[in-house]
Amino acid sequence: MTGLFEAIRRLWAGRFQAVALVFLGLVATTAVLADCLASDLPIVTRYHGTFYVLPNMFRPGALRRLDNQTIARTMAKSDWALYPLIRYGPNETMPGGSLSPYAHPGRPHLLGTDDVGRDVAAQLIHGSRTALVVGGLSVLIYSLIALLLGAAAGYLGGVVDRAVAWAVAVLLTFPTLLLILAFQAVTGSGSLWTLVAIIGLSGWAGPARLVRAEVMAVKARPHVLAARAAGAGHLRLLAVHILPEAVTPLLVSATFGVAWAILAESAVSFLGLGGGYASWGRLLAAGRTDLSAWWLVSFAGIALVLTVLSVGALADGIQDLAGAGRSSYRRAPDAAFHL
Amino acid sequence: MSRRDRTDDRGEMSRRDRTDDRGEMSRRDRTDDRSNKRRWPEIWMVVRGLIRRLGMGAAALFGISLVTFFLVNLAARQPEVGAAGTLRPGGMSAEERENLRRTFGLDLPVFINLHVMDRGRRVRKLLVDLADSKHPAKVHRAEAALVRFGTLAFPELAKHLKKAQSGSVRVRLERVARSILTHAGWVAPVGGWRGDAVVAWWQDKEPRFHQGAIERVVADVGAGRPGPGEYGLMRLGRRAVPALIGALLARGASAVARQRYSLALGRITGHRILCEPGAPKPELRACLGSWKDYWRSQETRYRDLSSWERFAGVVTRTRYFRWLARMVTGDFGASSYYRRRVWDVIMDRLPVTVALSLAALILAYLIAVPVGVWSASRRGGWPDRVLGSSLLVLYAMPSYVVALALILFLGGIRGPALFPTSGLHSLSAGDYPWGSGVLDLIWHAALPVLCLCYGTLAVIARYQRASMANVLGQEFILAARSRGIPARRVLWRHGLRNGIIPVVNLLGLELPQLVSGAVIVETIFDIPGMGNLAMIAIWHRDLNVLMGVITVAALFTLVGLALGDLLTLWADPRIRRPEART
Amino acid sequence: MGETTCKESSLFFDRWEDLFSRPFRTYGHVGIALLAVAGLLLQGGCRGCGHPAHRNRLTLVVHMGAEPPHLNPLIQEDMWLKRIVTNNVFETLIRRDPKTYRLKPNLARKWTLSVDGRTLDLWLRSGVHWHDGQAFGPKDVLFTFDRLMDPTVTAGSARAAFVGLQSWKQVGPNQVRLRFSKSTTRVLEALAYLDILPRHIYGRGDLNHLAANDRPVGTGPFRFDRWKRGEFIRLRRNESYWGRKPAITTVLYRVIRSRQKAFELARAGKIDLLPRILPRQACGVDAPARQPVIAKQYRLVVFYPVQYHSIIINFKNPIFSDRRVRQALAMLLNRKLIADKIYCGFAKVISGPYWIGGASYDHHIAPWPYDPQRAAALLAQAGWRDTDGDGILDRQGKPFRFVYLRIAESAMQAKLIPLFREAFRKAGLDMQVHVASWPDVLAKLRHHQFDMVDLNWVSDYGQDLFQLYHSSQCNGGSNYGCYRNAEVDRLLEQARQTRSPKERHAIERKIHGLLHQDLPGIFLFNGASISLVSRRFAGLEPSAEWFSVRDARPVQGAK
Repeated sequence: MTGLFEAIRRLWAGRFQAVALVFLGLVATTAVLADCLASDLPIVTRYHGTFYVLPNMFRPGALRRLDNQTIARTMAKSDWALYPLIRYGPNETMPGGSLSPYAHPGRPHLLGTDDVGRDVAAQLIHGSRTALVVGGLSVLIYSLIALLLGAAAGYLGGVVDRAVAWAVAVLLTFPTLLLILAFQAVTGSGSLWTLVAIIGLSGWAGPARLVRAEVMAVKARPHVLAARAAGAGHLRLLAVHILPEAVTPLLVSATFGVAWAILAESAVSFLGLGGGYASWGRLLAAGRTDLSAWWLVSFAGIALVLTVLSVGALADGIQDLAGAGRSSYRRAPDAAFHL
Repeated sequence: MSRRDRTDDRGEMSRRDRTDDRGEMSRRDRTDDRSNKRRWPEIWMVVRGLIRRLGMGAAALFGISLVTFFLVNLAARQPEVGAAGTLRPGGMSAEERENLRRTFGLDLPVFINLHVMDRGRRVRKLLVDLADSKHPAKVHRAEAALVRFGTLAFPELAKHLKKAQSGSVRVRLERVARSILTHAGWVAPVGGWRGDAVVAWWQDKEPRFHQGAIERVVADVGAGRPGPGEYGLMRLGRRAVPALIGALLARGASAVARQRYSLALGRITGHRILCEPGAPKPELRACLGSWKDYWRSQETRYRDLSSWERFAGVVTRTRYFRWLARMVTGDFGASSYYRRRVWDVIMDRLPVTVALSLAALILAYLIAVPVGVWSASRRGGWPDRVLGSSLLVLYAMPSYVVALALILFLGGIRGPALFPTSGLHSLSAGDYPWGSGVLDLIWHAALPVLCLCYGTLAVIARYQRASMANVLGQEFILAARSRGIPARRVLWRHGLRNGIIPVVNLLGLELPQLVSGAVIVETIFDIPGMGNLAMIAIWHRDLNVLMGVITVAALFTLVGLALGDLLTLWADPRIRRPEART
Repeated sequence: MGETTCKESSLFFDRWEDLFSRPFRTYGHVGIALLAVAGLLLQGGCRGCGHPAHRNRLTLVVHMGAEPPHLNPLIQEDMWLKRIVTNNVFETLIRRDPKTYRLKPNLARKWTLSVDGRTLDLWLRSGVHWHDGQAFGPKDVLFTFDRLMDPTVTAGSARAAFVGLQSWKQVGPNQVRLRFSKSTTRVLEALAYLDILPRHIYGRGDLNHLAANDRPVGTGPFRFDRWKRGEFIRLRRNESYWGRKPAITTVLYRVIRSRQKAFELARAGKIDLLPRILPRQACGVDAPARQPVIAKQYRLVVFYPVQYHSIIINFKNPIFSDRRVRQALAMLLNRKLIADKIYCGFAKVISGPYWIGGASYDHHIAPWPYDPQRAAALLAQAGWRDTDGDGILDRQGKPFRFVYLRIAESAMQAKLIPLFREAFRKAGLDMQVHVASWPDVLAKLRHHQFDMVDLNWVSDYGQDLFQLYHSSQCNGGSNYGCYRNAEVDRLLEQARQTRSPKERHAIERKIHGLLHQDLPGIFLFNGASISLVSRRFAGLEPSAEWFSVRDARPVQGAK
């Protein structure tokens, strides 16, 4: 009986993380299936005799000049189409030739439209994709950089260590968001990948420092010393013994970093420096100029907060898992990614 | 980029093991504290720490300059002016653009300058081009450039004339010399300015072009003494410019003399900036500054460089060095949007941001530390979990969402208009007496400070809680309790003492976050601070201001880090006392 | 082993851990610290806060959406700068009457233009003084021209109006003569926009960076009083003005960047003039601007200023050389729908570049309609068909692909461009958008490195489109698209030489017709400026010269 209670207690203790995981799964699914959930072209259709599969993803040239509403209007008798849940695309301003900015939630736009007539629900769905892509990729980039530089500094020591420590100190004195904004303004591109690169190149300083400290600590541990005495080469030492240990705090940091990157991307879009891609920040910016259009701010705000919260809870959970057993205060505090 | 990484700033072994019973040892030390003998090593530790921080700061500044330089060159555009989207026919002329290019040093190489040009080299190169018959366009350009050089083209021009006995080259040289000498006002000898006449003229008049002679003429002109006077200066042409500039920028020059110099300079160079006598200080400064800028960008066209200068010039006559020099002296240039010195623009707005950040920081610490301590004292229980979760929620909310929500619900759009949502003063704040003016200010600053502080609050509270939880699990706490000291005193006096150290260190690390947050908060609430300035600079691509803001923000952070260090030194006696370390 | 107790009760703490065990003292200290912080804020943000604003019925409060960078009209073109200082603080030699648009003497009491149009003599008014008491004289006029034509002064656009000015000198005690290299009929209009600066103040030092740029001294009906950056600019009536003094004593330009906030202040009756509110705020019956509380205090005034939006096409790109293609492009954009929905009806679709409210605009010419079928037919006629089935039209193997340059700073463009892009996509044209900041866009325009750009042209009343559409202006002028049409050239030159306004308007109507057919660009809209004018004041009417603040007078019986 106690075993059951214990199990239930453990489960209940981890409930935030479980809910967070479920929610993130939902967001990820939405991101992956974004085109099928909201798009300006049907999922499957037979139009004017020709059969199209997944035109919403593959964008065939023949349907390039059409959208759902026009297809519905100009269909032949024997044609049919399976439409996505939301029949509008995230960047589609004039579905079927009509223009309706600032439409209230209801019909035909479930969650309303923004200031140029783009459907809010579609932008929410595609915005999740933007958020996760930026979050995941940029963190991947900077984690790799951090791993490389931190390991080099911690393992090699000496000049390399000093150089990396100096670079890290310099980068950490900058307000990161300002740096990102400046870079984005200066490169002026509207591409998502530029933003990913910029965020990735700005965020490696803290994790690099972490990895460096870890590597230095692990390097002096008995089993590593033993392996060295046994004649293991540098690469083998690093790959087999040192890095696997160093990766754990990096993983925790990276998970918090995902939340930070998501917030950074939406901040950039909010301040008007984003590109032509759908983003929650863009919705917030549109809502800011006219706060009486509450549907613009509320949904995007809730989505953003919930996603970031979930990532944070997840990261907390991973941290608890990873940090179990260590008593140093360095482990206990968690990260902040506040913007 | 997680915050926990930042606490691990030293990575030294000694810091990791804080499991000793600090409480007792430190209390004992405290009672001995007052003896002066022990003070000196402590002060020395503090000073050493400060010096080290300064050194790191200098290195960081160097890195900051590199990053900002990289940013500016990514943009690498010519600074043009104009409002967004609206056009009037016209715009900036070619000379204006060229002037601005020169001022920004955009015609220099980036990091290493292997071809440091001075007057002599330039003139020689032009003379070589002049002789190049294969490219008529080049010849034409060289001719025009040599004429522009004016009297600076001598003695090389005379030398070439002597050498070139015949042919088209001699004709061209004669033409150039004629233009130069006529323009400068020298009377032509009988027969015109033929080659031999020019050479003879140079041989005769050369002593007048020596540095000393020119300086004497300049001094005479400045003092108003009789002599060749201004007419003489015009005849000396551009060769007089270095001496004139030197005299103009000299400290003890009188206002009248300055006027004369700037008049002459304007006539000779075409850069018509007159430093009028009786002008108020800012105008005079602007006038002298303008000439200083002119000289800085044009100097190598007027002077010959010594070999030492040429050697140093490999590094110093580059874009990056110029940038570094300007940054170190705080000269960020002039804002292309505001038309004022960037320093002035930033200093106008810095106090506001600093005050807001400080207020947010103080508020955050005031609330977070007790909350963290209390939460740690009840750790594992209900209140602790609830608090922990709500702090996490507070974390996750981005400041723009919170700001918009506050405006929506407390700013009168979908709720009562409890707080103003923009600016720092009411419309008629000029009418308020001092006391209610302050209240009005606080009322306006309430929402922005709230938006700035809640994130920091959450961070600090969580850190405090974790650190306190760590401390409370140690033996000396148990020992103190077993001695009969009441729980509250144990918590606050003994526990907090040790638990606050990492949190104090956090102060410096929070500052860049505050500046970042200030960008968003000030933009939304329309507060005339540095964050707002950064957005305006980004909006108008005013690079100088942007770089200035970033540099000042980085400096702000360095100051904060130093402050954090100082506070840690104060709070943690183990650092001050080497013998206390294990 | 007892506790060390506090020896004396002191204001500060013996041990810093008492910080938290003595909360009241702590919070007392911190309260003081916070007040000190507030004081810092006060210092930084409120220098001289005790200066009363004295708002009364003779004070006009104007909402200013963007602060000008400085107040020197010669060195930079800025909309608010001009509005605040021209003929308010500074004065021009000749002034255009805001109602009749005729040129009237101002600082120049009379003038004569020679028969060959190359010499202009101006007789200056005597007895005029600068705000600091010094006398105004020919030396100031000469100084202004000195600086205007000085290449080191960044006065590019103002200078362009005086191209051809050879010399300017004083020929009599109050007489100035300007000589031009060729005949000019537009110089009088150009003079109406040139503010005269005092030499004794602006002659000291580098005009580009003077401190006096922030504290203008002129001869106008208002003198500069105070500029608190980020807050307001205040002008006071010039009691020793040489002409008719304004009826109001103070003009306060309030800096409020957020339109929403300005609107809220208007609701509270704290602003007298909101010169431009967003279309959305006046949109529909239940619009914020039509609420009773606003309507009671303000009049809603809609005026179409002398500006127009048009998309410039680069003729160096061979895709656009066929006129049928350009006409098709014009018919693919549903401008009426955009004007109705995005501008809320507060924009007029135009068919040509002349001002709708002027006599040069031929109202018989209807703008190109929205007709995608006809556009498709025209494109097919021009040889554009979708031969490879990718949905993009192509001709001779090349797809119809072009780059649209978007100006980063413009919020309106961010709205319009997705609409254009979609409209073109649905017709089979591939439009790619590049974003650049305004200086970069300008550089690209000058070097003809663009395909399409959407620009908002702001003009004065006397629009001279020579620089925009004459083929000689391709390099160095504003004819960024390098449009060439011999007939338009001829008519533009003729218009320039014509002195009689009636004849000139007739010629310009012809030009309008030609440009409409030939489409050097796609003419989009003339956006209205929707203003809220307080009922407390009369005489505040919008015109092509903006609001004439100096003619405002309080209405009798108003509060």
